[in-house]
Amino acid sequence: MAQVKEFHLPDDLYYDRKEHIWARPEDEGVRAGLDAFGVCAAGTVAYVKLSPVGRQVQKGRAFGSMEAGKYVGPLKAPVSGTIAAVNQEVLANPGLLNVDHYEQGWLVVISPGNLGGDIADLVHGPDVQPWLEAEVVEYEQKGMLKKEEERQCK
Amino acid sequence: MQVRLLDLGAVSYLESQTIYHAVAHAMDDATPNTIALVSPDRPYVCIGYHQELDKEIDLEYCRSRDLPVLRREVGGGAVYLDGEQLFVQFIFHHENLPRKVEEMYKVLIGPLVETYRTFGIHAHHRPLNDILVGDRKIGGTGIAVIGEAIVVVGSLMFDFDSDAMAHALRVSSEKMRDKIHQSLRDYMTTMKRELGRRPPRQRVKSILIEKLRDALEVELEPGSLSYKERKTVEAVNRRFLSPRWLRRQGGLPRRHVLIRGGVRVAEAEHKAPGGLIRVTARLSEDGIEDLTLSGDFTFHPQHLLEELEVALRNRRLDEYDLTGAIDAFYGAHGVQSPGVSPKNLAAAVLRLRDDPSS
Repeated sequence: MAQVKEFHLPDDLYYDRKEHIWARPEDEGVRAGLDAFGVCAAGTVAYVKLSPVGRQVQKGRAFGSMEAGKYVGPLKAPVSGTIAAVNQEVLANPGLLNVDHYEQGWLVVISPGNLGGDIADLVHGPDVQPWLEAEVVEYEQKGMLKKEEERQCK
Repeated sequence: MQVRLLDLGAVSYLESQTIYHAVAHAMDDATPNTIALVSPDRPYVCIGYHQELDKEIDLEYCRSRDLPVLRREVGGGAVYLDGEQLFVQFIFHHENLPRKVEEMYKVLIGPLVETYRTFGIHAHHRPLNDILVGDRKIGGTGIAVIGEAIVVVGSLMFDFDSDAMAHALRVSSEKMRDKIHQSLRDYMTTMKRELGRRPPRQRVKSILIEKLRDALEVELEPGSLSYKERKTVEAVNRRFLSPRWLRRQGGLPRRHVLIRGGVRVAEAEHKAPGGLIRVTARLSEDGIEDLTLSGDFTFHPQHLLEELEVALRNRRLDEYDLTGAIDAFYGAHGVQSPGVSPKNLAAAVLRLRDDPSS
């Protein structure tokens, strides 16, 4: 488990550096969701829209979108493939993303087309901790994150 | 860092939305960070990215007023827009804006607040994204990730047609519409309302540009759209006018109309043995500001229903408090309402709480 301040990122997951989407290869495909840092940046999630099962997605292209407070943004696929499952619970209750983003708040399962190639540039294992440390330092230095005591995403 | 300034003046209602979308969609490494200043040349209604047209908009009213409707790629609720607003649209590379939404809003809202203050309007930023004068909202803001860009949009309000806004929304009852209308009048303001007149538009724009330059510590270079961006505007124009885009399925739940942060108008229903109870209310962070009870239940003496509504003002949405207050009112006035107990009425009011954003 990588941890910097209140941000917990399990190091058995793979992370998209820019989008803060996590990916977990499983038997049925690659499960994906938003990581703790991404959730904190977005705020309270009000609505999630996800592409349907069977839809082809490209790595780096949107497989859905979300609306959080006064923000709308795409959710970008960490790997290419076909949507194999969509989390209906998170569609019905988008707040799951805020409270349990690694388990109940997963978004989709993607049946990958080129898993080995696609996950090569995702952050994983021992690389997660230094990457997260650098992210937090960078965003705090640039004033992109509130001071720790003012943050509300613990 | 240089920022391109697109000072476009009055443009068509369509391009008051599509230009910034197009700049964002066409963005590549060579695209400068851009700020666009535009106003639409005619009124229109604009719905949020995740909203559903038929659920949000009174299309009959819009047709009767010749009001076109567009869907934007920015979130939030439906709004009435016209030339009395100066839109300020940031289209920036991700790395040149803060990552966190609160901080992004500050980048835009700071210069807007400073511009209002230059004219003697005591505006302030109320996080997350409201600009207030006293407790009244002046202008709206929103953020979206579009293509490779971060888009932050806001406006300076010269004047606002609250009547058109209240009528353009699809609502469940005229009581709800009246309450929205009244709440917009109570909780929104404009430069005209604050100053008694509209300040000269060109002067406002000059001050805004100066404040943007100071806040961002950048040079604002007057510029124009590139060929690629103009072609993208044409493509976005076609998409935004297509029924498929306008009528795409949404699902963002709207059980209320947000007037400004912390203040909303909501409606709820509860079926009691004695009939349906409908509650329409304006709610603030402190509880019930104003409330109307209606439905098909019997309440005797009828004229006391209005007094009960007054008695429930300033109360919190708390079961114990509400039931106690309604009980006391029934006892003091000998109210009879067969099949509708104080507890049923309290339950109807408490349904206003079901709103997930409350």
